[in-house]
Amino acid sequence: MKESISIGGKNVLASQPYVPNLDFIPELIGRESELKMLIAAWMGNRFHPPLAPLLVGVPGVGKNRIVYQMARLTGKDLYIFQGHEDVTAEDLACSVRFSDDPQQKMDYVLSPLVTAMKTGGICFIDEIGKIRPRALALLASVLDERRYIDSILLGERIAAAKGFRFIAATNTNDLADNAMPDFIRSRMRPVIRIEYPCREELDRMVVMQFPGIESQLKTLLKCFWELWAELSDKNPPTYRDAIYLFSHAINLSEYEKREKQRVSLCRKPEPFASDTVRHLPSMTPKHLKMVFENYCQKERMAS
Amino acid sequence: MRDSLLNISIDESFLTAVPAVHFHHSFAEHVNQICWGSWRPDAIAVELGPESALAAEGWIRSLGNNRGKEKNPFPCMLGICKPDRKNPTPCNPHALTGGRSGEPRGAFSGHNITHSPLVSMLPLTPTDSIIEAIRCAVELNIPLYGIDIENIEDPNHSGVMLQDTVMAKENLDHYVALHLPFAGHGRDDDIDDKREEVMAARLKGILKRHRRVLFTGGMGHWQRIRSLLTDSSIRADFHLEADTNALADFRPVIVHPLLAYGFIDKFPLIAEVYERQRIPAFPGVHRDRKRIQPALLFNTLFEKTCQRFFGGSHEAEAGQYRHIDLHNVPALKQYLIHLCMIKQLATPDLNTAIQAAESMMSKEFCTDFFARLMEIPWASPASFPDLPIIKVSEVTDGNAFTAEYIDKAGSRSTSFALNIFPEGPLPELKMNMPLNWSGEIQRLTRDSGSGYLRTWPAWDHLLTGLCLHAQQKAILRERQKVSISFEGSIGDGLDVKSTIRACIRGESTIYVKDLRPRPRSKKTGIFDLVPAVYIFHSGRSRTSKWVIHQVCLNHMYPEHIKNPDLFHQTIREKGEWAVSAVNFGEKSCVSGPIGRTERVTLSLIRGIIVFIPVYFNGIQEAKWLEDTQYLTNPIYQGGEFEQLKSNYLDKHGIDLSMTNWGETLIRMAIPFAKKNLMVIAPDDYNPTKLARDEAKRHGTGIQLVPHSAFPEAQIFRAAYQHCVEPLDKEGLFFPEWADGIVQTRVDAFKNMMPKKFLNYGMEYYQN
Repeated sequence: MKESISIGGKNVLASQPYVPNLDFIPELIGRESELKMLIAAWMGNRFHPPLAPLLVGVPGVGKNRIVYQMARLTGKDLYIFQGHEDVTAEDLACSVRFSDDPQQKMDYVLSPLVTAMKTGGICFIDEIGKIRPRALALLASVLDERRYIDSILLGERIAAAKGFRFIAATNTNDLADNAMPDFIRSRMRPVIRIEYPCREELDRMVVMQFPGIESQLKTLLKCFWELWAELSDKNPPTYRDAIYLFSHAINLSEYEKREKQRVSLCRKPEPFASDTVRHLPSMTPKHLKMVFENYCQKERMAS
Repeated sequence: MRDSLLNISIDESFLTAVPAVHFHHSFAEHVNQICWGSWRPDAIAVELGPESALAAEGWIRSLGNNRGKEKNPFPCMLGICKPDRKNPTPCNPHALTGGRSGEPRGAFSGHNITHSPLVSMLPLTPTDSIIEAIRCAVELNIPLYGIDIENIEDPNHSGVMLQDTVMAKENLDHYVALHLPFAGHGRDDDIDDKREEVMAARLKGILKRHRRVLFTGGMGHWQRIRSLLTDSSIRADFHLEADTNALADFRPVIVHPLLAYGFIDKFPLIAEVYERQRIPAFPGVHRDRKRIQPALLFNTLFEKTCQRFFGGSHEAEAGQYRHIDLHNVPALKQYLIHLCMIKQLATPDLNTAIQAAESMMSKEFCTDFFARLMEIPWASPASFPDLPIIKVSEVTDGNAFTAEYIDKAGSRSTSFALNIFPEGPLPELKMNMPLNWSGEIQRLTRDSGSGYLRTWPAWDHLLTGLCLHAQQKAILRERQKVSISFEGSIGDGLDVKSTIRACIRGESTIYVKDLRPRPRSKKTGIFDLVPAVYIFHSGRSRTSKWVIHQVCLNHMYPEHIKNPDLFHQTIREKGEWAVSAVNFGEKSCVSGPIGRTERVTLSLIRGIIVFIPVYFNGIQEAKWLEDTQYLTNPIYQGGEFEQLKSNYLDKHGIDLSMTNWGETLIRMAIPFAKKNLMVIAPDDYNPTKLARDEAKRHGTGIQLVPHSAFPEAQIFRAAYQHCVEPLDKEGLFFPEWADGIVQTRVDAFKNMMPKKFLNYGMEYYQN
């Protein structure tokens, strides 16, 4: 249910904040330096408004995870705006929809950006590099000392609440060809580059994500790194790569195990189990290798 | 003196300690102050192995007792290296890698170098309390004892600092009391307990011999050492003498600035000022010491950078970034203040400052700022001609902390993993920032001679591979205009023609224009590879020069020429020199093996334009020139860059301005470019208006591909160009010894190129 707030006497619907489901999102490992840079950027005072940082990195290195962590640390509501090629300038401020209320024809719906500005939350524009330059024009006044946005549809100027903070993220490749106009790039500072996780951090993440049997994971992790060095001809693995490969290998091992049981018991197997910890012991380096070969083949086809 | 946290009396002897954060001058100042104060020690003990302490003392003594005086300051920075025989594999993986936060950044980095040989180095940092203690022992001519265990693993201590180390100046007792509970964070109890027991036993032994003893070492050890000193079960150890036979293993070295700055306080200027203001511990020296104020020093450096950068002396190249940078200066200052607050720093250190600058300012500003922060009179080969240089290896993958020696002859050792002792706060190395260290270049520069050189094939493959990758990226990004029916989004505006046509057809659909990714049908051919412009470091450079790589048509073998008429006509009308590439960079020269005449040159390239694929050998070049009818590259009468400029003006009406070399490279490519000109450049690089306009007139689009589209290590490596004298005129074979000098195998990066490209033209001539 969307919350209704009043702007200039008009009742408008606010966007809903995103509450990360930590059951599915791995614990943030490392990235202390990046978090410190973000906190420093968001510290403002009477003379200097908070900065609007831009996270840049390849897919899967944990840009969004860092933003979730910042929302958790600051205790603010997080409003996410997903960038894509069809975003228009007015989408960033306000849109309309047919009303559910039979008493009125249309509802104003505030964008995540304006909702965050009104409520003093965090606005996170994901994939900002995919938004067309002209659609970003409205952001200029939000990101400098003015800190307001003009909505033509609403016919109002909305000033940011004191606690409002802004952050955006983009993939490295989307920054190419000067996709972001200078007037936005110059306002989006600091630019924080999110690098590939180091081996130690990635190992820790896998251990935390698949807990319970560290002794077996040690062998599997060793196998994982050997396979990655052998079969993958690209950059180091990202968090997403590691989670994908391990999850897939676990599912594969589980399926294999159930198949064996089915043959022996002549009973129909259950589908994939949700409790991965319980079934991890059946996973072996062989499964990882199968998954790796499949993964590398896909990567080669994609490239 | 009474017993306190830092002072302890045992029997009739007295020990005073300076538990320190390594490399920070506040603690070195305390050591120095104790040594020239009224309470002078009879002996000094340091947290080093006995042999290491003796080697360091011997080396410092040989530098001369007059060190520390203004006229002849202690050099910054020398080091003492020894092979780590007891640890064939690195004991401290953190110390071997240099990511942004001192952690191994590339996941492969730490993995690969664990098989490298390990060398341990003691940096002789003037601002380190241990080095200061050794210097004082030499000046006071009192015994020095290394009380740690020699050749033991150094675990990585990452002590938590609640306050900046500058705060220790005022009240060391208070600072140590505050930090002792946290200083041992990350300790390895198995190793450190043993070390501390040995240190406590040896200290007891020293206290039996001397009445006043000064000890300095890492703060993380002091709490336990102090408690062990009062523990009667720990017996005094009198085996304090070093094994002099082991001294042969130690080797003094010059530490390259890019490696050295990680082991100096916050930034190098502090070491210089410390040395200027240091009071030698000689008896009778006038005591008048000024306190170092790091914040003041940092502000001065920052202001000077701004004055120089925005001062108007670099109009041409900084122009496009300057207004944004100028606008961002107050925000940068504020951001730095906030970062310092979070990191508990009273003054930014070099890494924090550069980290902040990199995320807020242009690369040009950051380069200037870094150069300013590094500007001190470093110890160089000019002042220590007999010492080898130890530096971060250039052949590393960009993140790994491997090192190498460069000896007097300029030849390099094989790379090795480097371990630093004593353990301290981990240095954060920024290896991707070139530093023009005059000392090294001076040593390596020799007469260039007039030999016939070719670029090293591994570099050729890498550069061409980058171009191929860029082409694929560009194809992916290509967009085409399409007309779609209006469904809510106005897209790129109303498509009037399509709408009218629809209306004529009797449809009521409104059409809008939209940009969609172009279908991926195009494949990169060999003729799409050139011309291509690569810009590696877009900043200004006063030391860089233009270098033309060219092919002399008259030197080609006649059997390679299939169309002699066109060949001779070209020479008659244009000239005999075909330009294959032009680069802008700094050139130095590395010698080949002793007794040979072959040479290897090394250049740091800032930018390069390629007209003929660089990996070609002589046969392929001949085939290429004929296939392209001698039209895709400049051909002129030969000479220096000035002659090439005149040729451009005469033949193409292009006046190559020398104000901006990046612009010059792009403009040189335009007459030979097809639909798109590939420019691989830093992320924030923008071609100048003049270049864009000229490209537009020529009907060429400038296709920028940023560095971030490639692995950082590849861009880093591609900026270093080796040229080697091949064994044959066509450049088919290279000497085997060159692998060792270049430290990249001749066939490296070959897998970045398709076989059909590699074999271009070869079959044709074999038949």
